[in-house]
Amino acid sequence: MRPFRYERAEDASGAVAAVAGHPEAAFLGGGTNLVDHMKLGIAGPELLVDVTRLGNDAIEPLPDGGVRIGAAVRNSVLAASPLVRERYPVLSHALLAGASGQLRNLATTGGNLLQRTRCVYFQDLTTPCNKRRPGSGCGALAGYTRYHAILGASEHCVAVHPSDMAVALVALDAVVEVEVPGGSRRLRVADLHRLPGDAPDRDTKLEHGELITAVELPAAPIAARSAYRKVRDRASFAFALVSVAAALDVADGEVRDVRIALGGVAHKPWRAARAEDALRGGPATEDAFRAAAEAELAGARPLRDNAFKVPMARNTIVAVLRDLAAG
Amino acid sequence: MSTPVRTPAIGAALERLDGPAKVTGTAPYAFEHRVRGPAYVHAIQATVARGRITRVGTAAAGALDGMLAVITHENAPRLASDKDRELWILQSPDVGFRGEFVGAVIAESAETAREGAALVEIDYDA
Amino acid sequence: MDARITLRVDGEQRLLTVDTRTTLLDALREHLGVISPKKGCDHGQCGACTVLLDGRRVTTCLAFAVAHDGAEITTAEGLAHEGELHPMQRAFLEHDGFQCGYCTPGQICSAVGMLDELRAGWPSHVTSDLTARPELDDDEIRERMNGNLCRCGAYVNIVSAIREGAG
Repeated sequence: MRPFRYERAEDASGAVAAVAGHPEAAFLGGGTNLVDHMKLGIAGPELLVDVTRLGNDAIEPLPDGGVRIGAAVRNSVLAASPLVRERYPVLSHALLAGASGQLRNLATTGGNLLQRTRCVYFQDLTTPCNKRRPGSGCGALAGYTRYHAILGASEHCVAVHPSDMAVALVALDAVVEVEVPGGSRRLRVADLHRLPGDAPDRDTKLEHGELITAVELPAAPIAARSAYRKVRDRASFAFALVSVAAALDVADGEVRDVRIALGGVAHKPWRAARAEDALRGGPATEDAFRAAAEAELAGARPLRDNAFKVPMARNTIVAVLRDLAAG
Repeated sequence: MSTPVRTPAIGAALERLDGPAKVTGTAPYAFEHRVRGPAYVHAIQATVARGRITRVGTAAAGALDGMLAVITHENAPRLASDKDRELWILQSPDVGFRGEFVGAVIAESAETAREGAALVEIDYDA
Repeated sequence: MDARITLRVDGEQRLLTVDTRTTLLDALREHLGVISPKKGCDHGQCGACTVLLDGRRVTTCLAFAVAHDGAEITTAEGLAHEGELHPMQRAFLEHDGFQCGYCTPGQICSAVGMLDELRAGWPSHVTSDLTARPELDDDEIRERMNGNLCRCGAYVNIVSAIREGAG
């Protein structure tokens, strides 16, 4: 680990200026991802700017019925928030499905969004990885692909995004507020993360030095009936093979509205817009759920070791919607 | 017919004598015995499954402040016997498995040792 | 790069100078001689390094000491008061909740922190009603303790110890 300077930022604009002005600087949140990477040698900042004390660690109801979540709110606090549990249960479920109590007590909202893939070829300095070293190749493609993408991948990268929270946020149409040099901007969480394309080294659309300061959830009555299901190799403390965040508005056996997002299947949380379109206005039956899931997964491109993810994703979508429909 | 052995300990629900030290974390394990002026080692492990080390570069690691020694097969003391192959480390450029110890960086702090280990260059013919 | 920091460890104010790269775990163990939190995986996955930091259970191996300047830290050693073991420690003794003992201080700090979270009404992944106050049962204990591994496999007795320690 190379030596680094440590600074505590006092406000967001100061933090942004410090990092934007230094190509080898990084923001430090809870550290549960970045410090791990620094020990592995896959991150080596020369300056760390601590952004946990900027005063953006509150969860506030908004006048329009939404919620504003400071980027420094710890994952455990967010999951336990009565407001979130009541109005956006899928978000609480998703957070509680991840990591451990100790890690959730340190991890921040902003940091969780920006955590990097668990792909072993990314984490291993000795294997080719276009994300870690552009142009070096993709070790996974010729290697072990059980945990890799079935949607939206490219020949340059088949990694998946590991966050559970991000999948729920995409299903909820959440928006991030980002501090940039000279001001701020907003973008949908669904637009924050990139597909790999030919530049997998770029996980998100953020420029160096831009800082997530808050996440806003729009008012969403549909979210009162929502859930997150995570399918993994172990019953706990493991990343997703496949996960589903969904919300359902059903009346008289008809789907009035639906939200579906998938985890474990792509370089970013995958909003299942095709499935949603197929379901809206149609019957809330298992056959309809299955057909919609199949429509969404029609474009799936399984790799050598992860073909099981296609029926697994389909079955999980059906199971979650069936449970939500049953109330 | 044999006489059953009655003992006060076997099968009894005894509290362990080392229990209080273990539940407070104060029982010292190997690494935790205090020594004066400890040095810290960080291992360098082979990144190939089979092969031969063709070049070792230790200049950058050796230049670090607080570095005490950088040891590889090139300068490690020779073992008197090769009878116990589990102890046969740093004796030859041959690599038998990925992860095999091929070097050790010793420094005044764990952080310097870790940094030094990352700076050692090793080329393999694999 | 060095930094001077203060940590309040088990009730005692400690001043130390650390490399910015020094983790909170190494600051405690190497710099302060506080060996209660243990180094297991050093990557946040085993929980042997768990302490209570400002009242919350955390893994100290992925925290830089400089980032926690001024923190209040309680280790398993500090849970005992003037020779009197904490009820959770007594429970681990009575239920033989350990074999080699290496994961034990982390298990105990984590269990104490976990009970605080439960009593604050925090749900877990296995809590059936997300909006109700959770109740402790064995499934809840197992899920909430998922971040503490035991290589000796003393889990059965760890669960019964925690059930007892919960009172």
